[in-house]
Amino acid sequence: MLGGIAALLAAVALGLALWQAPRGVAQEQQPILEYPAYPPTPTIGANPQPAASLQGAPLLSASFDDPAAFASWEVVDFDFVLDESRAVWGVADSRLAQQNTAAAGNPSIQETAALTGAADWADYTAQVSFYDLDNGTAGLVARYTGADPRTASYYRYRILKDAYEATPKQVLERVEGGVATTLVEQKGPGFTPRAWHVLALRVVGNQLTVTLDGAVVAEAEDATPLAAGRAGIYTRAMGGILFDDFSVVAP
Amino acid sequence: MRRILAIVSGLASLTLLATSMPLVPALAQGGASPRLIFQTTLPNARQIKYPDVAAAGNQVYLSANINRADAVVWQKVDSAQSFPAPTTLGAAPGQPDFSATSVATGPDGSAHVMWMNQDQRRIYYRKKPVSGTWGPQRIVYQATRSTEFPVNGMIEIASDGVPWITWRDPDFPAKVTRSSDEGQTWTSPVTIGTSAVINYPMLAAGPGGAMAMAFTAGVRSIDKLQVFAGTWNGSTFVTQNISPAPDDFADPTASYSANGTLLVSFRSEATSGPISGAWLASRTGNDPWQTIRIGGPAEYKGTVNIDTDSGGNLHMQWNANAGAGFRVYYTVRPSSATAFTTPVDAPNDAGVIFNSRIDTSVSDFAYTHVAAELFSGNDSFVRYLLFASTAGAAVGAQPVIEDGEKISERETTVSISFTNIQGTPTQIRWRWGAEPTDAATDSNGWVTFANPLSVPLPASILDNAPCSPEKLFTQVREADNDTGVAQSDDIIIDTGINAAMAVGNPYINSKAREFTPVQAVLGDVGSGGASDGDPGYTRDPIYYLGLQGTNDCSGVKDVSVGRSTTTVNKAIPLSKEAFANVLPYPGAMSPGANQLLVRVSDLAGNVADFTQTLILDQVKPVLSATSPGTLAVTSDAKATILARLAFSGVSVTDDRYPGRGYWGVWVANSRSEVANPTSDSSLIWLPLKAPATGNDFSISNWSLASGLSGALQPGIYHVYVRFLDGAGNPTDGYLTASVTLSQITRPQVSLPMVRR
Repeated sequence: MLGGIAALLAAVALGLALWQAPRGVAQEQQPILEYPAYPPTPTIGANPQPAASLQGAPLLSASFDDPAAFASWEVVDFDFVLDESRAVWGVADSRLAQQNTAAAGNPSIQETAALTGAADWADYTAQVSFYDLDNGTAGLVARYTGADPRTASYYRYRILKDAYEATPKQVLERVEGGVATTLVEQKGPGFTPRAWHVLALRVVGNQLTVTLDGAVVAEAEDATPLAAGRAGIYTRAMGGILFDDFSVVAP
Repeated sequence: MRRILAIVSGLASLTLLATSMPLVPALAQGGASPRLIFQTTLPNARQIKYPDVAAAGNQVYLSANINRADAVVWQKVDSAQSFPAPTTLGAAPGQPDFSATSVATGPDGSAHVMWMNQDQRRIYYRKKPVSGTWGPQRIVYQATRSTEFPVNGMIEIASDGVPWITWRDPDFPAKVTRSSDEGQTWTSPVTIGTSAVINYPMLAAGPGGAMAMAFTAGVRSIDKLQVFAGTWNGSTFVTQNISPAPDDFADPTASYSANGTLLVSFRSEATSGPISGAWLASRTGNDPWQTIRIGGPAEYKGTVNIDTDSGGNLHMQWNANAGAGFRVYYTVRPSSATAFTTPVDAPNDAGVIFNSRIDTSVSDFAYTHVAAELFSGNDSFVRYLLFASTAGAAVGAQPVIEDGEKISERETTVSISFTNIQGTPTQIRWRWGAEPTDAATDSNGWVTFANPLSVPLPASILDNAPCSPEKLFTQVREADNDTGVAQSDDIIIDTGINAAMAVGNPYINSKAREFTPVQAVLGDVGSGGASDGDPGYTRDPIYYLGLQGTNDCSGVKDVSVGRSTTTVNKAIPLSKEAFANVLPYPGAMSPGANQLLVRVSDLAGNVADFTQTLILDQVKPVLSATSPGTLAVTSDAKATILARLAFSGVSVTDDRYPGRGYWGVWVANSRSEVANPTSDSSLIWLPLKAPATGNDFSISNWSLASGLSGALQPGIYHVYVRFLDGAGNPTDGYLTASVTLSQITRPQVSLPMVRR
């Protein structure tokens, strides 16, 4: 019995020694708090509708399998932000992700876009698949021209997730010199998060057409259409949204 | 055997505890029960950014910039579930990211707000006393250099009531300033270190006037963001890197525990792996920092907020996606426990919540108030969440000395009122200069709690007050001996009037430099009197009063005069603590002795009375007509212009001046003999105090040039002398003598020769 007590005392000493061991870089610490047990997060599956479904003459196709391909894109912020707060986009796991801002990875509600293409693109359809985790805003930009995003001109379609209280949930607008004019707006519906959606913005002449998952959700005619410009993907710098299979085709 | 088994069983339990605590310490579940009470979006406030919250007593203040226009503050009772309409404090136009507001509460329950006006590149401040209204708008700082664009401002109030404000310019280190005069003036900003700060620099107030700062900055050598923290050393914050690993860490907040331990919480940018999560670093005194990992892998955004309430409970809050989308998490470590409770989360249906701040009030519960941004698709709003835990059932009372006055006059006791009373205190003990202990109090142990309370000032303060804050620590406990933490307030004791004063003869020539006499009234007039005399005499019902504060602790405020303590006139305010003038005697002045009382007050309320006897003498002394004495004038051999006046057998009588009947002599020179010196207006009379006490005396170095105009020439110099009483009244009789100068020589001073 005495031997058993001695063994236990030794164990106590070992335990105290472990407790008092210096904590440092090399020593991994377990968190002292545990989060509640939430239901498993749904797995992000493959995009069910790749860009191949788009008919026309391809101008550009980006599947983001090669992260280096994104280097030719331009990321813009539509609000004035400090350099440290600029929106960060990046490619990972063959997808393009909006990754918050450079300010310690914090989210910001500033509007941002990743632009590509040529200034002389006039009539085309830009299409992208998106999967929203917790951003809540997705969209496309067409015929983008201008050096300063805050005074640029372009067409933009944006859609909010259903859970957001704000309305309208869908807006197709013409932005000229940084001033937005609504062409079409829909109070609802929005999109369902944690699911792949395919969004397309078609600009031909003065006709604009938006489809979501193959269904037309907005159509507009612009009497004085913007002539041409680059295409892009739009969201807010809040992270939590993935894009894939971006393509641009001429009619 | 049963006894041994019991011991073994106990050791086994201890062994398990000792080995498992470092890995997953047991959570304290009992007694705290944290829960979300409610959450709401504040109405009519859009396009907001970085709302802040502060609490004191049972009052909560919430600040924000709203509608790209105004800096506002809401106020409510801590447990209330709605906010009245806000108060607009000033303009905060433009993009809300750069029009930060911040609110803090002082130890006396006052509320303080700072905000930034980006159009003006200016920082503003306003204060609201605990039972008053918002005070005037004060300018904290005006950016002038092109590199300055103040952002991310934050305010904190030290335990001595001094507001501190920190901010940063993009790509530059944090700056800090503070005010000791209610925000009227602010110190020149101190730049903290050399590292450019990312996001908010944060302040935390500790006991005894301590102040700490925490911030995020890049470390070039590892190309990572790291967290820095440190304390104010009197001239700057001495910070050090407290990050637990060479990886990205960010967005700290800080708080002090009641015993002075500095606590800093922050987050990792990593969302998985061994360094991901929320972290808590702590340091007591100059001990090494201790760092523990609070929350495990998740996607954290914004600050990890920490606050120690007045009951010693430690509260933490953060925003993270731990598998259920972004949520607000809250946990508390009760003062009686060693572990945090399991975090509770707030459902988040209205939108995305980020950039939260917290503060805690303690009344019937410990209430943790969360102010955050809510983005619901198109716009950002102020989201308020209220958590509560029974950890707030503490006892405490915040002392306020002399209604919050900063300086008090010399009194044997000071009045203490208590705010933010928690629980039901029944007993109190106190100690000046240190926290009371069982072995050391100034209250002779525990005594009955009262509000207000009269606390004696010890002789050590009254006799040796250096005009610096004296800190009183009080500690209360309930009938069941539940004891609160020691809380403190301080006050400067001004132990009395420090001033130099001269009262008396208005004709004396030793008046203050600032005083300009009216020549016609107070100058030497042959038919009137002399411009000097005995300080205790006057020949008219007037007197001279000169007063100058000399390092009085609070500053000398005013002076008043009277014949006695019951006839004191209205006080005369002082300018720059100084006064010098000739004043009429208060009331009728009779020939002979008259009493004058001078009362001096300082800003602390000290009053000091000084009495002076003034003798009114309007009767001239009389030089004996039969045997007035003799005067001989002898020129100096080396400087003929100087003469020695030798008096012998002078005989003067006076009705008021004691002894030989005269205070001094009144001397005039003339190049020609004067028939009637007492009425000859060409003579310039100069008063001299007569040395010695007898009637035979001499005055050396009398200048034969005094009062004469024109070039000095050899020849006869006549000297006339009259005698003055204490009030400057001259005799009508006089003595005269003459001296012949064959040449004029002046005094010479030999200087050493300097060769180069």
